[in-house]
Amino acid sequence: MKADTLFFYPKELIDKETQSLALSIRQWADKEVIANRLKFLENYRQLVENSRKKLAMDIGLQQMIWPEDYGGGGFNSYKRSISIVRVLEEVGRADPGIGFMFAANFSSYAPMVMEPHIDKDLCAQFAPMFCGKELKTGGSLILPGAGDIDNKDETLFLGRTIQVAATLEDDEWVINGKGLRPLNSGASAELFCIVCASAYGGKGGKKAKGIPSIIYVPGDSKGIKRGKAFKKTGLHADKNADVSFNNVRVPKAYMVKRDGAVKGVYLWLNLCMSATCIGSLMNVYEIIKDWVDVRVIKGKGLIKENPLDAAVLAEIAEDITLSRMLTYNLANIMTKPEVYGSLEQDRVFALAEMIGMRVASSALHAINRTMELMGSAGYATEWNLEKHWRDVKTIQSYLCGIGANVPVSMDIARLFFDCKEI
Amino acid sequence: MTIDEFSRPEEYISPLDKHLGSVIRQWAEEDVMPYRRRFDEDWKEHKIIEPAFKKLMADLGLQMCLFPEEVGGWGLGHSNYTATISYRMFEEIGRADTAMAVAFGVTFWPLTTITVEPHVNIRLCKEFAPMFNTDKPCFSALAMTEPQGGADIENIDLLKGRTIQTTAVLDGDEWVINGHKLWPTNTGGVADLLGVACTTRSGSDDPNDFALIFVPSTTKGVTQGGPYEKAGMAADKNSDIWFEDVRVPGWYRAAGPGDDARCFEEIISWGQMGSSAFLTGAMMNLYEILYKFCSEKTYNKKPLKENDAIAALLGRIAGDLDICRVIGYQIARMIDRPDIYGGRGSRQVISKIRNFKEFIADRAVEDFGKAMDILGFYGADRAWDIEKHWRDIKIIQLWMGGKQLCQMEAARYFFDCKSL
Repeated sequence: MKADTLFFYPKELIDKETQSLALSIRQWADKEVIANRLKFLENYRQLVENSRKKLAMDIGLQQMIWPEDYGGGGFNSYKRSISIVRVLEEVGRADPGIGFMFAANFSSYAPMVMEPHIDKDLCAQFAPMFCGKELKTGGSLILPGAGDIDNKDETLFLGRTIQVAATLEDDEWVINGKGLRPLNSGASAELFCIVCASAYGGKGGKKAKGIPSIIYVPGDSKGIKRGKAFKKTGLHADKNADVSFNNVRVPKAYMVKRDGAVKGVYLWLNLCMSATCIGSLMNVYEIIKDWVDVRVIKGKGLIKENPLDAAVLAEIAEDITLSRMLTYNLANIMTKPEVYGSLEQDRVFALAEMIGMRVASSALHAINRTMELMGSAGYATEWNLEKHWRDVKTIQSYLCGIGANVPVSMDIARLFFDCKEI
Repeated sequence: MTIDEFSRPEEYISPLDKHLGSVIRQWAEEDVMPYRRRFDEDWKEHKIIEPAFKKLMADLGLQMCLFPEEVGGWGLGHSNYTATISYRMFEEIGRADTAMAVAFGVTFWPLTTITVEPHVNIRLCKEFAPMFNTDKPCFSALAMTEPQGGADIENIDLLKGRTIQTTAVLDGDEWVINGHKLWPTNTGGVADLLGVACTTRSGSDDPNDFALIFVPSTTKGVTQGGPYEKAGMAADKNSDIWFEDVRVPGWYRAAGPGDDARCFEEIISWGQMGSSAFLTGAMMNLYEILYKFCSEKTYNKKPLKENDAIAALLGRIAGDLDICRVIGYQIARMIDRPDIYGGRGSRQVISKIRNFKEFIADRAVEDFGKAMDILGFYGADRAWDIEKHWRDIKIIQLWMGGKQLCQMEAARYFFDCKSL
């Protein structure tokens, strides 16, 4: 039985268009990526870029969540949450690094493209960048994170330090921030989606205190300095680098200031990253299934027939099943604001964070257990498991942002117990 | 607070500890730590890694430390502190790079069967010492694992060598060896001397038929494959080795019928001791990195370490290191003093040492994972040096049968299980 069928998801909620799209991605994954993984080991950067191009351009993921009115695929609705999960699952199964790039892209576009908050001016400005015929890296997210002990004048977003200041001068926002660590694609993104501290009346780049807001900054703006792409544990499909903004000026309209917009980014980010992790787990299941179907231990008997190993296999299956159900449940809740309330409210924000952390943690647990059963094959690159392990771990750390799960725990405690000072 | 203040049982630390520890620490800080971020790309060639090995093993002379004085060695194999001082050396190297620590440690692994009391085989020591008494780094490998069965060979208590497919047949006064091994540390063209686990009678579970035979890697019929690409541990090369009618003198067998099996059981204890030392060494470095990061970076306008919830995570990590180091040195003590704790290869010692190693590995894997999350956006960044340790120490958890074999050994011993 195939992984799709074994691990429950709400099939009845997925429309034919999405199933067809998922099938196309499955075929792309099998033919372009999974069948070529040994070749990928030799020349990953080039081959992954070729594969991503087919997915982005031929299948259309690059423009998928942009509104149809602006040349996009029209998946720019909360009602498409389940479809987005289904799509990212299939991408993550092939390569969580590619899935991560699209997940981060979607989350960075969400504040301007997602119903009911479509920003027509911003869509008109930026849709042509991503809905044309040229492969793009996409949007890079710069989220709040670690603060600096020497800086006493920081603006916070729920305890996390906002490292970018936006000051309004003459109908333009002046953006400043030094040595920033984007979530993704800092080396080559065409657009930055930045959580900044926006303030009116600041002068000359002086760090402004203000409200957490989202501002879009085209990647070719004057005053942007990108560092060298750094080496990281996983997600090698994506090239990230630190970025600095020195008096970068953008039009006033490039800011999204509505209440809840920042929380909305985290909501989509947690959903999309969870979906990517589920995809990774689907492939992990396929790998371990192939292994235990033939592997003999103690000179007799299949490994899967040993009760200890079978118990480990059960843990893996449980992690995958429950993570998938949680992720689709979050997506389902997001499709029904009339039942569960606005997507950008604290309750849904906290739920998304909970599920994001839980799914990443369960995914890593499942992969760790899988590695235990495969022994040295678990960490040899040729068996294709260790890449999932590195990719998912990287996603998990990125979702934490700073301080492990503590910031998320504080968000949850604040919601459920009315904490005021944490 | 320095890393040296983490607990260990001071009353049985080797007299050589302070001196040798500081020499290796200096080597690690000058010759390894400034370069280790480039090791991953050097996994096949070892162009960056090799000079550091040369300094440690040949220039400082550590590759001779186990050999008896009469063959030019340091005579550590005669000491009551062989394991304890080895633990310190492995810990210091592991702090910088656990893969270098394993490559170094495994060089001594098969040699423990001929250089450490009560197994000193002076004839073999004389035979192989010149190979190591040189100005170039010289490595050994222990060829155990075979294509089918993974760690079955290390499950000696249960399987008693009956799954071993590599055969050794005595032809006159020579062994003729045939077989195929996977994964030994220091293969892929590195090792100069191989200790090969063989059977003299296929399918036999008689300990007398288990043979550990030394084979110089240049012997006709020995073929080492190219190194495998792995998630980490770039300084440790592993490959296939094939033995096709490989002939070595009959006296190249480590200890003889029955004794080879006993030596091999002791090897399990040595291996778990080394693994534990690599892990606590890496955890010491984790502490140093976390201390810096959590003092300089803030959450909610306070240094991370001053937030109660984050401090709880840091406290657990530091506490784990404190506990694991005590356990690790206890393992070394148990190996050093069979007169107190029982034979190194006894069920009692092996099962307890496997338990200890499993515990340390579990704590290390969890702590490094948590530390990456504490660093958040920086956790996966190679420049912070945690993620490389995270990849490397997972491999330490998995090798030598991994968690499950440790659990079974413990259950067999503590619950008298008969059929596991």
